Amino acid sequence: MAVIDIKNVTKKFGDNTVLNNITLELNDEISAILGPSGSGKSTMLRCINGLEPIQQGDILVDGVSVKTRSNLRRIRKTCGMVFQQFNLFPNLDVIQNVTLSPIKILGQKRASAEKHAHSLLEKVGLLEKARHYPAQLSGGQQQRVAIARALAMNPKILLLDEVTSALDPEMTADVLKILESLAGEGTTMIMVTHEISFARRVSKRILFIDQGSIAADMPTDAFFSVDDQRIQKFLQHVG
Amino acid sequence: MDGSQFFFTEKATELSYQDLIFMLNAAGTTLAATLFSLLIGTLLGFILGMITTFKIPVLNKLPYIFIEPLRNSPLVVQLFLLFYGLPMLTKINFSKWQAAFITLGCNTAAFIAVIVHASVAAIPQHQWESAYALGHSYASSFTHIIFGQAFRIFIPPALNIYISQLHTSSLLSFIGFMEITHAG
Repeated sequence: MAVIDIKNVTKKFGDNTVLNNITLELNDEISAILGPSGSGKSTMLRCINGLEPIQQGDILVDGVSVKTRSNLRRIRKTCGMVFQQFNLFPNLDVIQNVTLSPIKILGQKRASAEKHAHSLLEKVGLLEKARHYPAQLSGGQQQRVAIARALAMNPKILLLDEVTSALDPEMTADVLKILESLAGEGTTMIMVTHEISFARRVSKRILFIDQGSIAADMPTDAFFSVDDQRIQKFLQHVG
Repeated sequence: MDGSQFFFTEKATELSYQDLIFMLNAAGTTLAATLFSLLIGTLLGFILGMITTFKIPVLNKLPYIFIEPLRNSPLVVQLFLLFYGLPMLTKINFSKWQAAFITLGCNTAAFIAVIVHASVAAIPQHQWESAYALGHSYASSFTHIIFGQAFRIFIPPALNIYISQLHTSSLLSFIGFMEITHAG
């Protein structure tokens, strides 16, 4: 069974149709969602964990429908999400940012949650910043904490919403290095990104969204050699 | 001859240390009464303010029926309506202390409710979203993530209201004052 099953989904903001009758299955692999700005990439990701309600169709995450509001918390525990703007909690320090949800939601003991947090912070290279507040960290560091925060919930799937778009090239490299090592460990990731070369290197499958529809859905190698004018034009612009 | 001269020549001679102690006691009573009203007002205001932050149509507007008249009319009018007006219309008759607590408490609640609403609304939507994305419910998001941030925004305007209400509490003497004159 597919991890995420998107069936005939239509999403509208008022009269503006952002996703138009999308049907798609996502499996235990790394998929990249590409497409021009405003094509509905981020919206699709936000629909998957119910941050945006859908008007038609259904999305099943691990067999659970996003249409039922009471399911949403279960779905969100399955899907970790990292945002473009990091969205760390500014009133909590790094270790509290990472441990709050495992303690409050998964019911972990503080000691074991902190132990797990330490290993995650070590993985993202920020163990020495554990007692710093988000405002004391650079953008790249904040984003790495945000990744650790999402991983602390042991999600089955990691949703990455343009996680490097707000970072300079050096910080982008830091964050991508971590994502690449996560990919190497077999973490299922669905990423919306403008880092084409990264997507090419890491993902197994590319979804190309244009004007709210899936314009291409193919293995990564095939995507970059496909003879399609729209895709070629897009790759020229971003590459 | 202005008022100050009158005060020093005529009254100062009658002002003893005992009067000062009496005034200090009275100030203590005022302070205690005000603090109690502020406490009640803050609790009530917090509840009303929270309701206005809910995304539930109609319900989240209901508190304004209470809030707006209290915020936009003079406290003395509210006090007189409660203390003198209500007994004329109904059988409800508050003592002057009850009337003082209710008026100042509800008046404070109206102002605090609006500050609570503004403080919560000031927290960016993405803070809620990242809490939700981690699996928090509305209540858990609020208590663990939003409240701490909103509270910092809440404090300065709330302190302004508290100080202003402490000053306003002198108006409460109007009902006490009248009673003494009536009695005398």
